[in-house]
Amino acid sequence: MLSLLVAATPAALEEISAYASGLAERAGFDGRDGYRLRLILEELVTNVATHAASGPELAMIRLTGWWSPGRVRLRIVDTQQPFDPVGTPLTDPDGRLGGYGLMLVRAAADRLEYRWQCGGNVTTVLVEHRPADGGGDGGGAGSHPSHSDSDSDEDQR
Amino acid sequence: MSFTVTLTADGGTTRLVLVGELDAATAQPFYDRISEAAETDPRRLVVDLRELTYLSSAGLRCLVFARQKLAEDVEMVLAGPRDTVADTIRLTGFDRTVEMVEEG
Repeated sequence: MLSLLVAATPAALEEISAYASGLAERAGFDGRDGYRLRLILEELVTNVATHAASGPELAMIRLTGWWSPGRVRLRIVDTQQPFDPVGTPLTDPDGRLGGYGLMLVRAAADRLEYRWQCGGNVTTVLVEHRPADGGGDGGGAGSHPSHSDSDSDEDQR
Repeated sequence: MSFTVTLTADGGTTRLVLVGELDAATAQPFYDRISEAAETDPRRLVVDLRELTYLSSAGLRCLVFARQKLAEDVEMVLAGPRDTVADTIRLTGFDRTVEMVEEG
């Protein structure tokens, strides 16, 4: 298990990038899978900063990651106002400058789950190796979004 | 994470060369350059992505802004994106709005 506690500020993005690299390396991800992992993390953290009522400097986020070969599971916890990355409708990205962050997270993640628990947002993300030819079952959390009541820890601690 | 963008204008084609990582922390200089590029009144805008190693949604919004800033009859081309950057662009469908080419 690899954990990181950061404030949701632009300055944290470099730290998050390093954290994502660490997880990717442990899972044996190739460049494309590692990129997806970093993208998902940065988009979710940036989203917390954008919506943080307390201001980004005080919006603390705890990242916890577990890995196994070709697979990374992440838990992202923040105590800002409720925000559901699974159920929130995307704003129209065409014509209006918004919605791309969530769109990317949902497309890049292989599973995306959310629950509001003990006064905090708990988002769980699964990133798995995708063949370079874009094959497999089509990927994308669009086919596997859910609101979770459980939290299994079958991956490496 | 570093990012630079350089602008050249030559005979109706304006080229923006992006180097490094384009995300929320580095997007502002690109916005500024996009406005400058539009002022060159190009017939064609080439965004050279060969040395761009990372693109987030903030960077993608810059590209959308560029498309919106240009007149409709101005061609916009994304040239030479790396596989990972091209993947990001395709995930949002923006490749249906602009031309993406291997060389430009």
